[in-house]
Amino acid sequence: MADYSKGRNEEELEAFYPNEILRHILITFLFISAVMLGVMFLPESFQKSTDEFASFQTRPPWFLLPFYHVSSLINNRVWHVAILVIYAMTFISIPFLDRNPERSLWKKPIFLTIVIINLLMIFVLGLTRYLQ
Amino acid sequence: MWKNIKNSTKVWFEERYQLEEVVEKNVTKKLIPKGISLFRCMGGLALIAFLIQVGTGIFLVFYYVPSASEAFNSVQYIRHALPYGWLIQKVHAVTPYFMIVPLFAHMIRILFKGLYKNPRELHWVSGATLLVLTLLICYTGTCLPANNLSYWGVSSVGGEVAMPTMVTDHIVGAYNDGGMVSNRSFVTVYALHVACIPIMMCILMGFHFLMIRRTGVSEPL
Repeated sequence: MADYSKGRNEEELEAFYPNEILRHILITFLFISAVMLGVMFLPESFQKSTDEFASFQTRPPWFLLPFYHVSSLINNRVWHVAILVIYAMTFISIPFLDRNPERSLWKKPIFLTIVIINLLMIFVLGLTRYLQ
Repeated sequence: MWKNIKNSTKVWFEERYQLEEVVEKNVTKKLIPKGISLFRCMGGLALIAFLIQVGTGIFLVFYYVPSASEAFNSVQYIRHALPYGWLIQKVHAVTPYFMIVPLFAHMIRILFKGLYKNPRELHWVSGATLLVLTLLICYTGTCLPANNLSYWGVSSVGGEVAMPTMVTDHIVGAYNDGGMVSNRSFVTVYALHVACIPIMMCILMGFHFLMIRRTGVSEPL
């Protein structure tokens, strides 16, 4: 197991208990509060699935919108599944694709550009599906 | 008397498992580096959200019926007839909206700081796979209540969804067939949602946490 005290003096260390535990508890309560606010105020339309009720007023979770938009842009089933799988595999393989010894993304302009383009693409795909 | 029971129980456990040493080493006497931001809690928050989903999901498993004719009615029963069923069902439905936020924040932080570099490559692989599985489990979850959202998700967008072709064929074909859904479709998606994906997630999470314990968190940059 990792020992953080190695190579550090006391001033560079703090107690896991209670400091870190307290931080985690506070953040957890904030998160649960956010969920409860969502439970109370997020609108929902819970109706039986028929053509009549399948209106575009009902939207899937926001984080699935980009993937739904991709599905509507690509008609070929095989291509659609293949593109999503390749995208996921590329995302998972990032540590093996990025062989630059520099750690910070800000110091790797090409990789930074690719990441920003991808993030923007996901955002735009989701937003345009949401606005449709 | 209470103190005696407490002490004897403590001694009983201590003789067998030496828990005090484990707790001291991992919690009470553990030291961590200073200056680690609150953003480091994002992975833990995603775990909390997962546990909320497991807890509420176990409750829902007792009442949800994965069948074409009963799925919608069983969810309506949970929402309207069971004491606090509406609360548990809605918490289960709403938590993914918030679960994804810390997950994305966690991944983006690691990506921008390059924390996936040697020796933490497999931390990223397991974490990124967990993100993909989370999206899949959320998708299968939206298909189960057989409400208009399920219909919208699998049918109105053109019948192409990020799922194995066999599964989408089942669901889309069934939905498009006069609005009726086959029982097999529900059981397939239900099995993926409550068993296959969660088990894979638990294994990957165990692997992820074990590796973090081995290598430790990355140095604050």
